[in-house]
Amino acid sequence: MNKATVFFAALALVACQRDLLTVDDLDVTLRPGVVVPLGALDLTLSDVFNPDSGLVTVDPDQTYRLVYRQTNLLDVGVADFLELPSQPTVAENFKAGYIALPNVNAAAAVRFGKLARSITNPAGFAANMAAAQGSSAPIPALPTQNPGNLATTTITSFSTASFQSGIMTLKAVNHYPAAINATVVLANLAGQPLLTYNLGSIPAGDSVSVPASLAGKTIPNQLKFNLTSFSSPGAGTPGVPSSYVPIDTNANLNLSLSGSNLIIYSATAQTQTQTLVDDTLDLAFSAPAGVRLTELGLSQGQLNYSITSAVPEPLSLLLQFPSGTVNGQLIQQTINLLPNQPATGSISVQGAQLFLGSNPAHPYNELPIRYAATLNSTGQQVTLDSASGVAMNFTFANVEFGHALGFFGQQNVNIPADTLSLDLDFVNRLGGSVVFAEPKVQLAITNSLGLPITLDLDVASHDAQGGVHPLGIPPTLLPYPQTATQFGQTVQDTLTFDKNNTAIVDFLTLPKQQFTYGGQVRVNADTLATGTENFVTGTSAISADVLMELPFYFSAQGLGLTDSVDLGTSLSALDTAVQEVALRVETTTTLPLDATLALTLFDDLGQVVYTAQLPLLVSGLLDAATGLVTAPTTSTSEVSVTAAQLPAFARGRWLQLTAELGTGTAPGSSGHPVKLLSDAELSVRLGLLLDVHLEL
Amino acid sequence: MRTLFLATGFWCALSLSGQDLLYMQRGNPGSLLVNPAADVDARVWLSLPSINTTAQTSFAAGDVLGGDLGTLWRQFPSEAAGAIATHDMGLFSMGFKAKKSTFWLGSSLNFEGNALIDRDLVGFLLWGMKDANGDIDLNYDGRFEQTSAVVSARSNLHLGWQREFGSKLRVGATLNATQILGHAVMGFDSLGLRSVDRGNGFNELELYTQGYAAAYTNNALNVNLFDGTFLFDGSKLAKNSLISLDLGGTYQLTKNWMLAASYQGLGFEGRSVLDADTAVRFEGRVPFSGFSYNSSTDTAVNPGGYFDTLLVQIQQLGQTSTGSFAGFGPLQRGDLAAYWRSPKKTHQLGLHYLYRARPTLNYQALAAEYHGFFGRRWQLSASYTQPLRSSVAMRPSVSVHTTLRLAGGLALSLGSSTVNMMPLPVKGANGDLTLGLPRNMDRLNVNVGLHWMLYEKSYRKAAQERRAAKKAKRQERKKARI
Repeated sequence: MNKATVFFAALALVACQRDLLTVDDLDVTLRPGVVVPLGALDLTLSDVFNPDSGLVTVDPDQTYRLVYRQTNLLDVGVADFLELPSQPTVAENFKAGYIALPNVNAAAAVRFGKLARSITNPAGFAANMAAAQGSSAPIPALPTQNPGNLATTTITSFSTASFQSGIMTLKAVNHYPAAINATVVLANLAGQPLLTYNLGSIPAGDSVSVPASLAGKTIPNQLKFNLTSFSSPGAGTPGVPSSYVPIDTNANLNLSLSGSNLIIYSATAQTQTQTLVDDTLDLAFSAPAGVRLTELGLSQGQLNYSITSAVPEPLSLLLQFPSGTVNGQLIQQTINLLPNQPATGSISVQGAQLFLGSNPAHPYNELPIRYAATLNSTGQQVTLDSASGVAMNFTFANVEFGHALGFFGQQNVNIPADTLSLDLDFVNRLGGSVVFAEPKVQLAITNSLGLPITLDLDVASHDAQGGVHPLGIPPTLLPYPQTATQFGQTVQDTLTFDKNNTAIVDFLTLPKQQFTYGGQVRVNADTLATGTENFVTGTSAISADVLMELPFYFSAQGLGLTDSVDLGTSLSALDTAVQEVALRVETTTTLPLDATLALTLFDDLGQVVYTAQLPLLVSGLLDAATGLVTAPTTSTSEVSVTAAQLPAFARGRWLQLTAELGTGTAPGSSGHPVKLLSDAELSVRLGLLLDVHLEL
Repeated sequence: MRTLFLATGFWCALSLSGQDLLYMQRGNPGSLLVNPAADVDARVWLSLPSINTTAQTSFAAGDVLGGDLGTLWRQFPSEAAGAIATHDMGLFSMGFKAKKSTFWLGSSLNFEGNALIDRDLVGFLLWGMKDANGDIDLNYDGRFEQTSAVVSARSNLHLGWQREFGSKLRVGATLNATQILGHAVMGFDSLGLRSVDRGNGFNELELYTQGYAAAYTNNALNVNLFDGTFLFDGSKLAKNSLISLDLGGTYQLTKNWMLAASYQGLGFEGRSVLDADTAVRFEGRVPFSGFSYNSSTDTAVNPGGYFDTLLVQIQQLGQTSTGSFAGFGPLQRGDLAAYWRSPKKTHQLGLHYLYRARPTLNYQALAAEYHGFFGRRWQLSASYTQPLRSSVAMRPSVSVHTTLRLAGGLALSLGSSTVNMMPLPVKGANGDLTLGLPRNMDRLNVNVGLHWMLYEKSYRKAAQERRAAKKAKRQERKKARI
């Protein structure tokens, strides 16, 4: 073997394998298919709906209950029902009227010698008597004649007085030695007769008193005694000395005036302390229209007064509330008035209990005030006039009542109608219906207003078709302290509105587009039933807490929610890289709910390129009688995009997601409500299947 | 440039094996590096740097080319897919014969590395959890523990001695001092992804592993790849030398039959321990169960947090540890051969059993060899090697090696053990010239060396005698014709 042989042999050895490949023969296509657990969720409803939220509570049987509590939804004080208006000033005047004067006395004497000089018949009588002075002598009979003014007198207690009544008595004491007959005319200085006294026969040494009425008389203080119709039978027989009578020309005919029971119209006179007036004023107590107050207890207040007296003597004015007491004592106050000097002040009525119904003719809203004025004499002559008087002004101020009794009238307070719109896009898109089986609204009333208040609500819900679903709450009399035995007490009671007394189930069936509400609050709406005896205290109020309880005992069907997502061109890559992709969902639940998710994919032209249904949730096994889940249910579903679907799927631009939710139904029943329990559980397993087809 | 140099050196470091055909190539002193008892026809020699480089994959080109890779992968022949590179470089070697003894000494560098990915792991990338029918198997059990990587570099100083005992027996031994320049391994006792069917189309995934990674760098070296610095302290290098022994023997059974046996790498295997600079232990299981939310204990659904936790769990699979390369050993070769030599000693045919063990590759093979000794100017050897057992799949290969004598005692040694796998230029589908890869190509090897040597006088005498005999023979034939 030479070298060439070996070389060619080697070359042939090399050349014998000619099955050559190049890198172009590398055909790498990745087709990995994997199933990967994405995750797991274990939810317990009590963790999701935390009872501590205050909105959701859990009953002992684990039932969820949506509780909405609004304290002081209604909080109305007594001022909204009864508010005392400002009291007007009341003016009251009284006149002094006829004023009593003290008794008066005045005296004068007619000396016999002076009388004798005035005797004209028989002539010489005066001389004879003067001659007989000191001796005994017969006195001849004197025929009737008018001796005239023989004496004057002065009354010191007044200057002049016009009497409304009174008696002026004249007493004549005959110290003459013979009987006389005479008439005494009391005249003023001008001689004008004022009073006439027919004395008649007055035996010697005897006296006679003759009263005369002063009514209508104006009597000056200086008076003349005019003797008229004077006569005397004489004494002694002339010539019979034994029949003679001692003659004393200084013997007097004493005349004395005494006035009593003197009541004047006017006078300038000394007065005497006396009561001028003792009267009662029915003070009208202003109250709102229709309110008839019979009793008020005042926590504060005062009666302001302003009094001016025109009476020329000081007065003591007693103001008294005959039907008002403080601590059992009548309310009264004495006010001293000086002539023409206004007196102002106030009488506290704090703590007073005023009875405003003492007047049978007007047994409400009247407060009698007694006023009694006493004239206090100063002993000085003053000019009196019965027309002079006292001007009084009374005003209640700062009045706050502690309690009030009476009838507070019939009041209607309108609750303005309004609308709460539920026309929300979310609600509209929800579709379907939710029916709550046992909703309940409670009003917890706390009331110390002793008057009947009727709540008349007009609440309704409106569906999209125009249907009206009234709540149907009847006019409801709110609890209140009804009798006098509950005066000042607070009544607490709860009004319950549920399916038994309202149409609340229909009212709350969702969805609704709007709620409308309005109504009235009526006070003393039915007096035949509730009477007219109302009372309040100054702190009376009514408050109401609303408690809405919505047990999650409900049925729901066809609740849907649709939304769309712009995916852009994100799916286009799937066409080249993905053979199949699938999302696997396994749910195990004791929730009484069914849920389905529908996926619809549209391309740029709006054509549907993919649809899928994903049953997300299948309700646990239900007991129709109780609405409770008795056993969990496991469901498995998958959303898959296969290789055949992928080209169209990859064109997808818009993804429409439609979720439909409803409550489960028990075997053999349909639409029965279910109960949502806090210990309901939902376990979700998520898995992803991905089959890739990627050519490198 | 320095970086390029280092990178190139790193690639070259991925290999070795002395050319197996040198085992019986008498005119190449490199045979002594293969068999200390080799009969080398040289009085004195000096080998200049030589290299023997192999780049190998665990699969043939036909395993991955020419069809759908995924389909081809179903029949993938190896447990792992990856590349192996060995690079053995003889720095120098010199020797001489003194009567019946031969002495030599030399130095070499051995670089090698492999990176193997478990076949199932590649299959997972290709098919995921699909079974042979293409259906996703929720009970998928992917075991990836064949994934491994080794990088090793070592230098060697050796001193050899050979002695002839009579005319039939030669015994040789080489004492090696090996310095481990660097060594890094990554391997797994278990690594896998397991899926357990939980019904209704759901599964649980679990990543599990038990493995290790460690790296050692000789204290004499301080290499910084990032700034290209390279510091060498020779005084430290010798301190960490590992001693091993190569033994060999040849026996001339008859005039035409010769037996040869050798074993290299006796010594420190199993006794030497290298403490790793860095060691990481992979151990644990990571369940892929997806995010988990329990309303009674968690406050929010946090899938992102799950992935954060998952990442931490995966990171925690690797824990720094104090590891060592227990059982670290020298490169080992075992050879057993029988040769028939032609009467004129020009041709030899032999049957050669080969055992090779090195960090990146183990195999056993049986080779049918031919060695042609065409005078001192040209020697040619060729073999057909049938792998018997190997850590990665290996195809039968054809090896050719030649030694050409140049002027002045210089000789060029050139060969390849993958002659039947050599790429050839072909025209591609588009008509452009491209590289054609033989379907069975799973490695490429090139072996080249240069040495200077003086042949033995006995050979010259024998040659002169042969030429004189030929001349006399021709004269006799000429006389006979005349």
